[in-house]
Amino acid sequence: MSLAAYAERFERFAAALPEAERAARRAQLQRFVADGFPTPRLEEWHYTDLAPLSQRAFEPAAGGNAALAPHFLAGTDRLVYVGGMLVSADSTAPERHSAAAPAQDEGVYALNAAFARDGLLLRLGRGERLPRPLQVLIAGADGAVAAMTHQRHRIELAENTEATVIFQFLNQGGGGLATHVIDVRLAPGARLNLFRIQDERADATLLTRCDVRQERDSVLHAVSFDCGGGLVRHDLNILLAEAGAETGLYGLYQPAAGAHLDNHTRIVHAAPQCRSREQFKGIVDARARAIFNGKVVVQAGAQKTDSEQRVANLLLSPKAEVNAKPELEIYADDVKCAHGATVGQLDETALEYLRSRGVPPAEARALLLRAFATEVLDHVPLAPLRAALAARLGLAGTDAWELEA
Amino acid sequence: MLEVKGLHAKVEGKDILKGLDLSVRAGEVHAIMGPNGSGKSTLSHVIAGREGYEITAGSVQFDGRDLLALPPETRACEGIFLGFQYPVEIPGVSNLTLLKAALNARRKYRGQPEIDPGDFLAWVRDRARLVKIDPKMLSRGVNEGFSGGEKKRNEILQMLVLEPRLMILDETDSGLDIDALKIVADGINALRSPERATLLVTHYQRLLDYVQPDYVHVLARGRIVRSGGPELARELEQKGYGWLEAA
Amino acid sequence: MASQPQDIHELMRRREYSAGFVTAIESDTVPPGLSEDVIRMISARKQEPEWLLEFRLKAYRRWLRMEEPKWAHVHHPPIDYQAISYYSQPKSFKDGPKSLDEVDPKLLETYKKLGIPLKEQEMLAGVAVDVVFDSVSVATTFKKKLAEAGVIFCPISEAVREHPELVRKYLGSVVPFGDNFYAALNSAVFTDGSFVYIPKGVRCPMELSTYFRINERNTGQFERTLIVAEEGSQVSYLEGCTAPQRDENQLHAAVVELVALDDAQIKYSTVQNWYPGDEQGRGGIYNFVTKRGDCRGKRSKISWTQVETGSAITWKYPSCILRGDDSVGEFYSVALTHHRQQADTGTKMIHVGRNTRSTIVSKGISAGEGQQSYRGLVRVLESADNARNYTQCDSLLIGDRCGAHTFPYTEVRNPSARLEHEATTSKIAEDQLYYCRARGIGEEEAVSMIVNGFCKEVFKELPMEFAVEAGKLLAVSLEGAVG
Repeated sequence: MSLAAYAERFERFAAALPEAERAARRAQLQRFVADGFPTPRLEEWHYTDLAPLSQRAFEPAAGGNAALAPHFLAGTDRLVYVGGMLVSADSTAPERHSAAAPAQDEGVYALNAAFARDGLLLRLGRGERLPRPLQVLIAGADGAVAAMTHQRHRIELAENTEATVIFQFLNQGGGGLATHVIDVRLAPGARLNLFRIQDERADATLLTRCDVRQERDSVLHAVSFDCGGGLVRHDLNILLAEAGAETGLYGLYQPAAGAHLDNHTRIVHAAPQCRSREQFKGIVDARARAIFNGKVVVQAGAQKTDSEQRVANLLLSPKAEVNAKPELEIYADDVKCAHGATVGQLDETALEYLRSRGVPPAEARALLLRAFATEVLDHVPLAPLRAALAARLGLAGTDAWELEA
Repeated sequence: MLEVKGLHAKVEGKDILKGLDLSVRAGEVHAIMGPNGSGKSTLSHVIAGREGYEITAGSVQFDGRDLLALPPETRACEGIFLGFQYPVEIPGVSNLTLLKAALNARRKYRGQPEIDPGDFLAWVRDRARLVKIDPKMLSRGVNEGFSGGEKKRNEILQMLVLEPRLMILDETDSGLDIDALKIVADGINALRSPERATLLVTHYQRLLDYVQPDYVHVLARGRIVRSGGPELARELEQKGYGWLEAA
Repeated sequence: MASQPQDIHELMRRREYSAGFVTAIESDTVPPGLSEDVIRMISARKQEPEWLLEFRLKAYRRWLRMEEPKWAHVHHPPIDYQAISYYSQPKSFKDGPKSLDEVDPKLLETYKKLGIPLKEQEMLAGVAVDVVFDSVSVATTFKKKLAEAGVIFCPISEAVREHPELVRKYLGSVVPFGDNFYAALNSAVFTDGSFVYIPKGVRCPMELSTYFRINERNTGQFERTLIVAEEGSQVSYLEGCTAPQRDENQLHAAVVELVALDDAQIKYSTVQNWYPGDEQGRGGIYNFVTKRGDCRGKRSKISWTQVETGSAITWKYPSCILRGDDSVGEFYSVALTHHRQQADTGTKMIHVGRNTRSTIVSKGISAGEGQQSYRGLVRVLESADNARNYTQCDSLLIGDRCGAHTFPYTEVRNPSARLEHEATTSKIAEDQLYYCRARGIGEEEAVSMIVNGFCKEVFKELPMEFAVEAGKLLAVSLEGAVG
C-alpha cells in the first residue's frame, strides 16, 4: 500500500487549514491510513474492490470550469459545485452553502472527513417549507486530471417541514475520485423528497453515502438514478428511529458500458410501526457490472414493522453481470416482511405480441424497456426532472401521458 | 341450552356489549339482527371464546356450565360451532387434516377412540356432497385460495361434519349469491333437530327466507332492544334499522 | 386462557430430547489433541494406503494455515481443537463388523432405543442401514441384497481397502481437501462414514441410510460420505444423527461428496437431531458440515432435503455444482431453532452447464431465543445459457426473542438466465390459532398443525416413512410453542 501519497497530500492541504481543525482532520487521515481502502474481504465490499486506489495518487481539486447550464432545472433553486468548490455565479441559493466542520468517520469515509470542507447545509425551522426544490449540481472541472474532491452535506429538517433536494453528480472525468457524505436528520413530521442522479464518465470513481435518521412520523421519499460510467458506489442508510416513520426508496440503474455500479441500501427498523418500501430496477447491458445489496434490519421491539423490498434486473448482454443480495435480519416477531429479487430478460412473448401488431423489433424492445423503467420514473413528481431523466435514460420516445404523475 | 345474562364486554377498552340477555333452548332457531357495529360479531366471538374480549359483567352458561371459564377448544368439544364471518386461511394444512383433528379432538373429549380413517373419508365426502364441494378441494389448504362463496360453504361443511349442538353462524349469508345462499341454508336445515339450537347472526332478512327462525332479536348499541317472531325480521327489512337509532 | 409469551416459554421448556441417553460401553479413545502423529495413527489403525495418508497430511498442513470462517451469523466461544479426541471406537469392535450377529448387543440395544433396529427382519422393509458410532461404522445391513444389484454400500474405511481405485478417483474431487476450514479438518482426521457406488443403469433396489451417533465424551465426529452414481443410475439416501445430552459442546465436522454422472439421480435426505443443548444454551453439538454434489453428467440431478431440528450451532450449505448440460439441482430445507440454538444454513447452486435448473425452498422456524439464518448463493456463470433458478425462503417466528434472517446472494453473468427469489417472514397468526381452537383442536396441536402446513412443501420431498418421522420430530421440538 502506498497510502503515503494520501498522507503527503493531506499535509499540504492541512497547511492551509485553520490551526483548530488540523488535529481532528489529521486523526481522520490516520484512521483512513490504518483502515486502508476496503477490499472484498469485507462482507460489505464483497463485490467492489477499492484496493487499486491505494496505488494511485490524486491531487485535491481546486475548482474549475464546466458547462452545466443544460443541466439547470427550471423552477428550482441551485447550488453548483465544480471541482469541489462553489460556483457562486451559477448558484441561486448560495446561502445554503457552508464550510463543513471536521467530522468523524471510518473506512474510506475517514478520508472524506479528513479533506471535506464544502457542501450543502439545509436547515429548516419548525413548520418551514422549502419554497422551491433545491438542485445541487456536483461536477468535475473541464480538463481536470486525477483530481480528488471530498464533500460533506447536511440536511436538517425540524418538525413538520418539507423539502425537495436533488443531488446530481456528473461529468467527473480525468480519472478523478470524488467522495460525498450526505447527513440527513428528519424531526417528527418532517418530509424530505431526495433525488440522486449519477451520471459520471467512464474513468471516474464516485463514492457516496447518505445517512438518514428519521424521527416520529417523518417521511423520506428517496429516488436514485444511475446512468453513468466508472466505478460508483452508493450507500443509503436509513434509521427509522421512532414510531410511525415511513421510508420509500426507489432506484433505477442503467450503468454505461464498462461501469461498475454498487448500490447498497440499509434500512434499520429500530422502532415499532414503521413502514419501509423499496423498489430498485436495473437494466444492465454491455460489459457493465451492477450490484444491488439491500438490507432490512428489524430490531428487537420494532413490532408491527411493515417492510417490503423488490429488486428486478434485466440482464441484456453476455458480458454484463448482475449481483443482487436482498437481506433480511429480523429480531421481532409481529412483523410483515417480504423481499423479492429477479434477474431476467425482456418478456419474449410480449415482444412477439408487439411484433405481431406490426411494431418493429427494436421499437418493441424500447417500448418494453420504457415500461420497465417508467415504474421508477413514476416516483419523480417533478416534471422538469422527470423529462430530463427520461431523455437521459433513452426513454425520449415516451409519450407525455406516460410521464405525467 | 344457552343462557346469556347481563353480559357486558369490552374490546380494546371500548364497551361493545352492555347488558345483553338471551336464552336459547334446544330445538330453537334464533336470529340476531342489527346494524353494523351493534355488537353482533362480538357476541358470536364471546360465546366461541376468542381472546381479546374483556367480560366486565354478566354470565354465559351452556347446559348450566360456565362457558366463559373454558378455552375455545373445550367449548367446541362441548358442541359449540362458530361459522366465521371471515374464514381463516391456513396454508399447507389441508381441509381434511383440520377436519380429522377437530373430529378426533371431540371424540377424545368424549372418551371415544379415534375415528377409522376409511369411515372418516366416507363421512366427509358424503357431507361435502350436501354443500356441493368438490372432493378435490378437501385436500387443498384450509380456505387457501378459496373464493368468498367457497369459504362460506366450507364453513357449513365443517359444521355438517362436526355435528355441533349449538350452531352460531356469523354473517354466513353475506356476500353470497342466491345459489350459494340456498346451499348454505340447506346445510343449516339439514342439522335442525330437537336436540340442536341455531343462532343466526345476520344483517339481512334474506337468509331467514330459507331458514325459518323461531325468534328474532334486534341488537342495537350492545343490547337486545326488541324480540319477536319471524314477522319482526320482515318489519326490519321494510323499515331498515334507522328507527332503532331514533328509539 | 393461554397464548401469552410466558406460557410459550414454559411450554417450550417441556420439550424433551429423547435421544439424550449415554450408552455405557467401553471405548478405546485416543487422548485429546491433534498432530501429524495422531493423523498417522488414525491412518495406520485403518490400514490405509500411503496416498490417503498423504491426502490427510496435506489437508492438515493446509488447515494449520487456515482461519475459522467468520461470516456466518453465529456466535460461539473459541473451539480448542487440541481438547478434542479424534478417534474413539467401542472396545468390542475389532476389525470391523463381520455380520450383524457379531455386533455388541449393547450397540444393538442403543440403536433399538433410538428406533433403529439393526436386525434385518425387524427393519423397515426396503431400507439398508450403515451405522456409525463415534469414529467407526459398526454395522451395515442388507449388504448381500445390494451386492446382487451391484450396489456397493459400506463403511468408507472398508471401501478404501476393498475399492481403492473408486475411492481414490472420487474422494476430494467435489470438496477439495483445502476447500474450507472445517472441510480441511475433516480431510485430515475423518474416521468413518458411508460409501455408496451405484453402477451404470442401476436403480438402487432400496433406500440407503446411515445413522450417526456420537456417544463418547470429548470426542468429535468427523465422518466422510461419498456417493457415486454412474450413468443412468438412481439412489435415495438418508442420514440421521443423534447424540447424548451433555453439558459440553461437541464438534461434528462432516464432509459429504456426491457425484452424479450422465442421467444419474441422487436424492440425499437428512434428518438431523443432534443434541441441541439445554434452554440456557449449555451443551449441544456444533454441526459444521460441508456437503456438496457435483452434477457432473448431462441431465443428472441432485436433490438435497434436510430437516434440521438439533445441534447448538448448525453451519451447513448443501450445494450443487450444475456442470452437466440440462442438470438439475434442488434444495429443500426445514430448519428449526429454539432455546439458544443458532442455525446458519442454506445452499449454493452453481450453474455451469447449459439449460441447468435449480430450485430452493427453505423454511425456517425460530422459537425461544433461537437465531435462524438462510444463506444462499445462486451463481450463473457465463457458460450457463438458459439457466433457471427459483428460490423461496419463508420464516416463521414464534415469540419475540428469536431472530430470522435471510442472506441470499445472486450472481449472474449470462443474459439468458432467469432467477426469481421470494422471501417472507411472518408469525403464526392469532386468527389461525383461534380458528383451529374454535373447531375443538387444542393449542399445541394447532401450532404443530400450522407449522407442519408451513413445512409441507419440504416434507413432501422426503421418503414417505421419514416424512412422518420428520413431522413428529418437529411436533416434539415445538411442543407447546404457541404464538
